[in-house]
Amino acid sequence: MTRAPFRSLVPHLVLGLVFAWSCWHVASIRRVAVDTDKVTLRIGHWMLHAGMRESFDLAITDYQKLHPDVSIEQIPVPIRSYAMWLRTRLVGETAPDITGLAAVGEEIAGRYYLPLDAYASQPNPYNSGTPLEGVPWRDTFVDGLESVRNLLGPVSGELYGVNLQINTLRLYFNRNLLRAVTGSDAPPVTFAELRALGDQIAAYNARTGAKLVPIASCGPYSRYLFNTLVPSQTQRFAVESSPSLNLSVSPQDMATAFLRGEWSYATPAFRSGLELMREVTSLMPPGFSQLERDDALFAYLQQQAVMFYAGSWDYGVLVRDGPFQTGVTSLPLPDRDDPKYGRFVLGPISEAAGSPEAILGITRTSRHPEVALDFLRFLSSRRIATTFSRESHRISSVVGTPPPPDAPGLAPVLNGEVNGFGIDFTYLAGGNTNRAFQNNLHRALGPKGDLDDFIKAVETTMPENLRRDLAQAAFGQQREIRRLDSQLAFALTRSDPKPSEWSRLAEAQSIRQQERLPIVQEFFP
Amino acid sequence: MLAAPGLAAATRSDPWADARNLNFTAAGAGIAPLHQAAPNDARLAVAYAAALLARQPRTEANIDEARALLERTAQFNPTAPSPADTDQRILAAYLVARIDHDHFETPRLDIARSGYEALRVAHPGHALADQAALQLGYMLAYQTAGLSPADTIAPVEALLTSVRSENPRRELHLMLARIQVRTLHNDAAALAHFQAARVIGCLATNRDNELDLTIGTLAARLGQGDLAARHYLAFAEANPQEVRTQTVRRLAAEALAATGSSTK
Repeated sequence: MTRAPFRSLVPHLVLGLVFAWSCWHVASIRRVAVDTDKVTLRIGHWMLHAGMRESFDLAITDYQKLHPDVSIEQIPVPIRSYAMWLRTRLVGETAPDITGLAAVGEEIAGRYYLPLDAYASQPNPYNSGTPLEGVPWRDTFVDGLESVRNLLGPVSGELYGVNLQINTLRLYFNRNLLRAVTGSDAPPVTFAELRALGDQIAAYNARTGAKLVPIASCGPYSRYLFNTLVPSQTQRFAVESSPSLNLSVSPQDMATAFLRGEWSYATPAFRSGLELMREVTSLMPPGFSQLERDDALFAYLQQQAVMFYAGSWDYGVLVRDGPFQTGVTSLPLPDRDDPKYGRFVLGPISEAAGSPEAILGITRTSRHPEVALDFLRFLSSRRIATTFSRESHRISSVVGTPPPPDAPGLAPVLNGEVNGFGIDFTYLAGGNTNRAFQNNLHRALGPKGDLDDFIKAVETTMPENLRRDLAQAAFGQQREIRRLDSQLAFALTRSDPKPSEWSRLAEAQSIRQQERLPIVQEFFP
Repeated sequence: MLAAPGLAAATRSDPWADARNLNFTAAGAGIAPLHQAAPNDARLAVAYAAALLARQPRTEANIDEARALLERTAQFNPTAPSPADTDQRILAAYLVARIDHDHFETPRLDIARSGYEALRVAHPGHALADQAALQLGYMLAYQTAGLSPADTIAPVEALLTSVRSENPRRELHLMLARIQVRTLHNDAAALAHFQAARVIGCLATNRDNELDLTIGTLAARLGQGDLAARHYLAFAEANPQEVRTQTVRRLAAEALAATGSSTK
């Protein structure tokens, strides 16, 4: 019988064919890149949300019309694997010419991306004939690119990328459902109205047999919601009790105050923040913390929820896939007149900081850095930013660019009081305290939630968790302090030493020393 | 298409550029042959040692080697030293003390202290001797067992009076301000130090603005409404779109109202 030996060959044949196809595929890609007379530019990013790839395509087509000798390819990568993909490509020196900068710190940015400072002070030639003509590129962005600089080059002060957009968080609402429930499609404006809407939806469900949820949510998006709501309760506290006397509270300040016993979750503003969290979860579906973004999105698109608290980056998919009209509003926060929460509130908050999105940088391995720079300028010109904003339904970071015509409410609110701070230690290094907070949150939330039980559970392990996190923070600071000694030495051994460079590095080292040494002295003597 | 010649140049290999891009392994590899070819060149020796200190993986052997090289460089007496060469040997001595202070897993604080003090005696007025004074200030304030915060004030102030360079002066003022306000709760003393630091000015992004807020808050607390408003408004003018700006403008108006003035 010959069947048995043939069968045993099948896997080898299949593997051989796959291998041969892979070789052909890789070779054909390389051939295309090498054979063509055109300059080929690749741009890798994670922005797969509705409208983004299409917007990039439109911009690329426009650019290629202007520059027929240039061919640009998008490499969209799912966000879940983006950080790993990017790191592998950077280390392997096979990164695209331009990449999105996500999960990248100063060390990676400095090593693998080109500094853009020298070009940021020159005008963007693609702004000719617009009000931004002649304006330095840097100043054509709403925040002068400071947020990107602080994110990617806090020590060096270098600029390693530009952000095309700004993110905001918004409460989306289904106009049809809202009208069915309340008789009007006007969204709630105050927190009291949001609470009342929850009661109206419950009454509607009882009356009609519907099973509407007030706010579709999930684990990560509920944290966005909590971190918008809770700071309304720490707003006054931040102004009055900022340890650095600068109207804000750093994660390290908060950790040390908790460890010293000066603050705790029994502190009235913090407890009120927890109360607020508990109250708002009554508007979310049961088990929301176990759900993912797609579950929440699906619930809203399937009209199982009246509202959805999500990012401005989600608006595009709501417009594309929702068989109903979506309205956009800011999350109603307790105001000063709120009988329960008003005493901790200063007033409506400013969103001037926004958060930079679609940060793009040029990799050092780019074979055509000048073309990549030119394309970045093109992407961030007023004309392309306007198209991008319209097609992607997102907020542009370019000065004077109108918000998406169908959603002006996505634009950040620029006037308002300083915001407070979250109380879940999200931004404290190490993450142990935040994990304990999240792991015990179920004790506080829901109809059977017990705040005292939550506080007791979290605070039992808090000193140990805070110490571990602070130790982690101090370790990171120590690494920077040591590295800065080397940077200082290199700055002073250059053939043309620049005193300003040495001074800036010395100051950066001092900042880290002043952060680290008091912590080490007090908690790790 | 706009020409951008600097971008291509930025990609060329240069050990100092590699170090600026935080690639100390490449920087070390680039400098090693230069250092081997001219072992008595202080500039190359210091740069090579700096690469050894920072390159990955970080090992005790590399730190020991860097320290030994720096110590030899600091102690070497060339027959006709140029001012630049002397500066490099002072830098080597400063780095030896920095290594003892911060680079070993168990800091050698006493040896580091002696190194900083020797540098100050040998090269008074030199920028790195002033920087050594700042490091001595950190040791006094945060790394001296048995010294209470109140006891650190006088010796750190003495260091401050001996220093001329801007960076260590500003940082010593800020260190004293922090101890005064956070530990000794002496707002008036803290305010004076914060103001002195603000006059010197900072290079780090936004740090001057943060100092304006701190000074404004302390001044308001001390009933110095005009001073508070001046610094609050300086912040607001420098940051017209910052999240704190509207609150800061309100605080400025309140501070002035408390003193009977107005913002107009």
